[in-house]
Amino acid sequence: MSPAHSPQDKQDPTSLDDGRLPAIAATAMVLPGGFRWKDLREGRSAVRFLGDTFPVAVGAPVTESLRVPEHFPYDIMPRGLLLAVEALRRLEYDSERRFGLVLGLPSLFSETEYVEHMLVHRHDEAEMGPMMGFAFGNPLDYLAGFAGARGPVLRVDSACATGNDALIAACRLLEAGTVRDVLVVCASSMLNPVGLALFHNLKALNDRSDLEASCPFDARRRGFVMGEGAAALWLTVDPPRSQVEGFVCGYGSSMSGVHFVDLPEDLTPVERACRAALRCGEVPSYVSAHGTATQANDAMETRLHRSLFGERAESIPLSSIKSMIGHCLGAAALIEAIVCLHALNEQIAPPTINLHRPDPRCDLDYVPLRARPIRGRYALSNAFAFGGHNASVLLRGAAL
Amino acid sequence: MIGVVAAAAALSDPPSGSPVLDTEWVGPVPRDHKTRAPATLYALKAAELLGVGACTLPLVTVTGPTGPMVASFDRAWRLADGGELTGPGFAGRRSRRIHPMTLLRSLQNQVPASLSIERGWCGPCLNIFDHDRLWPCLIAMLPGLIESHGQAILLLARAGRGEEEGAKFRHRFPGEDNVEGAVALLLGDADRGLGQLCLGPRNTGLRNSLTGFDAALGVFACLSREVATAAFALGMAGAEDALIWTKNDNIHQQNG
Repeated sequence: MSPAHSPQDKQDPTSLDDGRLPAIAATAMVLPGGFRWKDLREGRSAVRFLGDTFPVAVGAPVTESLRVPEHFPYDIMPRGLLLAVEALRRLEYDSERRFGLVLGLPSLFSETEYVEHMLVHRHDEAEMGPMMGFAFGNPLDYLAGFAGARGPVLRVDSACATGNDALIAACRLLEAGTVRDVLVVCASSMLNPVGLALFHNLKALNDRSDLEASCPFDARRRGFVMGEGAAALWLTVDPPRSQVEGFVCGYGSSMSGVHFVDLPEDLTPVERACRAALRCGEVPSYVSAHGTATQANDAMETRLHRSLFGERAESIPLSSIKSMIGHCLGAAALIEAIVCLHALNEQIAPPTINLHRPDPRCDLDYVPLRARPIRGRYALSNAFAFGGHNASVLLRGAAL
Repeated sequence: MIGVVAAAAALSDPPSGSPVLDTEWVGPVPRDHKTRAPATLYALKAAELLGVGACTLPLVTVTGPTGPMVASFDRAWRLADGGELTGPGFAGRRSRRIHPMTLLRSLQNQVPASLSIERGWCGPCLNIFDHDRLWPCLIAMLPGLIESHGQAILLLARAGRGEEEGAKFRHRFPGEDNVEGAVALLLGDADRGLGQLCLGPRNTGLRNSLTGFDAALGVFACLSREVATAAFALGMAGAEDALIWTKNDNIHQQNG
């Protein structure tokens, strides 16, 4: 059977029926090291030594204590869910409205405690009882109840692109007109021995043992440094007066059709996602790179940037905040989208730190070491995941 | 209102009686624990039967349990001394290797990733966890995808008969059938094709709320039995809490 349309680039709709853009009325982040936006702006590093029980030397943990909610119904609280709760606690949204919830909580990236518990206790019915609570959407049910969501609820998972895909799903719910407010919350926590072992075996993790190990676009890069964290935002068609942090102007996604851990030689599908996000050819003043510090990703992103922007590529800064907070997996893209809003609203691009010896193949402006002033309305945030998910969003700040 | 242009399924058990449609395949898929989860294997079979070649149509995948995920960690478990977990870093005990594919096999997005790799489906993709309030979201989002691209593919897959996953299913849905498999729907214009899907009021006689997969399974059964109209209960409070299937008048010509 042939599809009704031949393969070609198509624009995804973003604006609502009345021409308005989905507005971001509030944001919140739970970052490694207790970081806030100002720490990223100042180029600080949350990477620290983990200790002897971990298969790699360094990571970027969330260091603040996380409160278990009162009346939590289960004995085991996966850390990913706890981080999501903390992000929702910090989000200033109007709980009187009827809103939906899109949750980006990749199961394996947020519930490795669950796997370990089941392995230990799976023949013990009494111990297995609490685990039943997490099955079949209960984290979504729990968080919807915690947030007070009375509208449609969804839980999405596209590994490291989950944050952008959750934002895209929320835009689609608003465009459909079934709800006027949606909370988006993403969280990820795999910074434990089991989680690290899984990535370590794939040789995706950095095996350096120094605090500059997270060094995207640097010649010394050898894989990513694992981080953890959460982010949440309130997307609405009716933002309260004086409470707009920015807008989602465009989005696009695609699948690469290559093996799980490979990146495509042919950049056509990746470009399709980016071009859909850029819609009418808007030129961003800043690009938030996926920037994992793997050899293949950073070289691919450099080629992509040149292909997208041609002669202007060298004048459009792109940087990777993963150099400062590691790779927060399923939360990374939503964190980076929020950082784009801060960057636009303060007209300053966060830096790529630890970039002391640039890779000759990575020859663009990665905002090395220090933040830099920018001027413009738009920022493009890219995410590329295991399995070939490409998801890009174009954001506009509220300031200009 | 969404049109169902074509449908296919690969199921562990027939929804009712023996298979009727050419696009229905029944039986357990061969297990390939090292590289692919069972739900992925069902999904690939259903996609093959749907017959849509390489394309950039939007793909929405809905995944329940993808298979016995915990069993993926079995080797490390069995190698353990005295019931303690081992593996690289497992409980900090000692170094044992977990199979490098364990992570990838356990990822929830393995279904869309494999469809992209094997079928060349490289359009926009959204991978959603299955739950019993899913269809209202799908009915809201899918028309936009269909409008911008002409058609869209919806594929729902589940493999929940593993030891642990089966126990979880029985805990949450006591008395329900735990069919494994995948249902693939090619969606398009509501007035053309085999039938239409929309939301509507729930009949008082309907049983428990259905997951996205179970409701799709019901729709597929309606297709194979040429049922004119049916309603499937959803876990959505309010006036529109059922998924309504309506056969198009031209279904006989389509099937013929």
